[in-house]
Amino acid sequence: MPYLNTFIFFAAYTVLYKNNPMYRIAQSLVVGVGAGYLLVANIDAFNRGVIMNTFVNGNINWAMLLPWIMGLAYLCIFVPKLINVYRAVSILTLTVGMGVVLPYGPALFWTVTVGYAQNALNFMSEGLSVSTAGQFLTAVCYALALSYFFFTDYAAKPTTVFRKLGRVVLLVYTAMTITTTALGKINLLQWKVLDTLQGVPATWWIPALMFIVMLIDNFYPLRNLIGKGSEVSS
Amino acid sequence: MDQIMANLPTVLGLIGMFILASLYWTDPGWSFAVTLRNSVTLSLPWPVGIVSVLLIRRHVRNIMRGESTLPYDVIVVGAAILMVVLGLVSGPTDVTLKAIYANVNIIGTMSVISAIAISILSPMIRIYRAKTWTMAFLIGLSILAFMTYSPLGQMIHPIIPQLGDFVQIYISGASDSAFWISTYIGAIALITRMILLKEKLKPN
Amino acid sequence: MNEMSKINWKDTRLIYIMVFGIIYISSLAPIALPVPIVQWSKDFYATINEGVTVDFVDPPREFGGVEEGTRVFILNSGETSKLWGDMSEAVITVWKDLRARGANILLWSSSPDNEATLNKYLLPLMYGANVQNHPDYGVKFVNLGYVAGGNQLLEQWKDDLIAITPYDAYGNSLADMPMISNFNEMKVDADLMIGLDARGLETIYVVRYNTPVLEMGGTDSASYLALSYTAGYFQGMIMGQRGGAEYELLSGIPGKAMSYLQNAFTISTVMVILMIVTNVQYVLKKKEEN
Repeated sequence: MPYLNTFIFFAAYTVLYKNNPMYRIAQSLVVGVGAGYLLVANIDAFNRGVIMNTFVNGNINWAMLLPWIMGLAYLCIFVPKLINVYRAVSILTLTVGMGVVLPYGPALFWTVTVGYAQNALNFMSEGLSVSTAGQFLTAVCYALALSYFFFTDYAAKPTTVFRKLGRVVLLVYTAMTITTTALGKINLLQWKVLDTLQGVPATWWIPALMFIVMLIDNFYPLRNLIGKGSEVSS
Repeated sequence: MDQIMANLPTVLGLIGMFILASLYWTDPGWSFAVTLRNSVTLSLPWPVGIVSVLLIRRHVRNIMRGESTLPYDVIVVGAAILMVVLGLVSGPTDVTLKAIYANVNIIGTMSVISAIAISILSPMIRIYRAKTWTMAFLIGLSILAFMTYSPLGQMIHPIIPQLGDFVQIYISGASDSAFWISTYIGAIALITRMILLKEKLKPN
Repeated sequence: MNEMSKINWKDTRLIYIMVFGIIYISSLAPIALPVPIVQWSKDFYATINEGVTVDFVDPPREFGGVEEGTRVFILNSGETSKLWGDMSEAVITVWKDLRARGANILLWSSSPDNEATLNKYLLPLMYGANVQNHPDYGVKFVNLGYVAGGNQLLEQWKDDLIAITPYDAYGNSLADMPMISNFNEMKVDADLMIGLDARGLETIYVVRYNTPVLEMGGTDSASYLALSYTAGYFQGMIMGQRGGAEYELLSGIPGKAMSYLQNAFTISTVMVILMIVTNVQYVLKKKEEN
């Protein structure tokens, strides 16, 4: 398994050189294994959540009937004539999810806005410090960034200055996020490199071998070895 | 009546949402709504599982048509069948099943995600040029972030990571709040339009 | 300068080789570097070590830090599987610390990916290959595994965990587990929640029930989690491998986060130098043209 693990990780990276069979094999394995496992995991989730609770001590648990009905209704996706049943149950699921999540919008808006507004004036009671100045700046930046999103259409012209400043605030956010994303994601690569060096068994030779193969291919295309007949279009 | 029938999925959905919204603001909650909400949660494995079936079906069709991607389609379908058979025969907690998943899927996904770093660093070197004041500002902030999130800034002067953290916490944080709240408000606007039947929800 | 101009930066393969080279060298020979500890990491440790008071609603909730029997609910509900390589050292060190303090740990994973990640990289380290046979299982640790439902589930669990999720990841009845006897009504029973890049805890738990919440995420999670920290909803955060190094320093628990810092240092130094040099080159060239 450690060999497979390392092969998959670095084979995916070989696409940076060019689209090649190693990458395609890794990609196909990831998709196939993922689809199969997701199916098994969800059968298990339904089993633990519903099937095991449908009959309790010989009595039927009526509350479990609805998940069964909804589940079977989902299967109508495979019956063209009953596609509307599938649509209805999809919409129900979607909107029930929205119904739960929907209040978070106003709730978050209210709590964040109130929190920022209250903290903004802390410098008056607590004195000026890095923290209180920061809290004031946060409230200002928050209002400016909101103005960029909110004031559109006929409200755009009178609020041009605010929206421009809002764009600067969003630019700061973008710049910081891009860089931290790069640094965060590079850690994933190093984590795997450390694993190839320190893991048992050591598997660092797999990416090294891949690199050598790509180097050779750069000067002498390996496709020449297998001929055109076995070429697979990408 | 015709209009209601034509918009049956939307109407059904809205009823569901109404029940849920009623529940959310009441304590301890309306028992029928609780049952409905629990049922929806418990039925979620179905749509997720169906997505997997549809994906596998697509590759089975490619095999039957003899598409040029045949060897790779065979790998996809073969791997999926192997996982399903293992799961059904040995159970979902089977050690081999979990090991294959972790050693193929998890690591493969992480690999793709980690490649994002390369796709950021590469253009930073190739095309980050101070052609405008905005670009110069972006480059300056990027350098500040690099110095803040590595020991580099601290080694030059402690004020550098302090400044970077200040920007991140107080400016980026505020900007992020505004971004997400605007997204939420946008979603509410969309749902309001749905309630007014100006938007239709029709999944495939 | 002339040497620099000879390098063709348009050939992206050079950049890939450079990045890989830096990572291999950093991994082979890490050196100790100064670690600035950011405030949210200090707050994270202080919450576990000393406790915190949360007072969004009356009455305020006093949390006295993690000690024997403290009920800690860990929500593996963000992008753990995708970010594990950036979170590994922090999660491992914090988990070690929680166990050493005697916490009762309940773990939930929001997706099969997240569950599989911890099953492979964390749980065997802590509880051996067969987790459910470990003496701590059911007494000091329970794994709910993957349960579908996301934030809807958190809404439901606030009142009753067993009602909606009667079995653990291995099919054992939760009602039979000693640890769950006082760990079922999450809004009052969970003494501390630790989100692994989790969202939504602020509105579901913190502002309604004063639940202390800590967050752990990847380096870039800070951008979107910072708002909840600055607004006071999260009591502390540790982000990425740098966060891991910070927690190692604060807690005194040894780990291997330092080699990640070495890598971040080398990459950052090279990137800063390249960005400065290429831009100076660009400005000079532009002046020449004018």
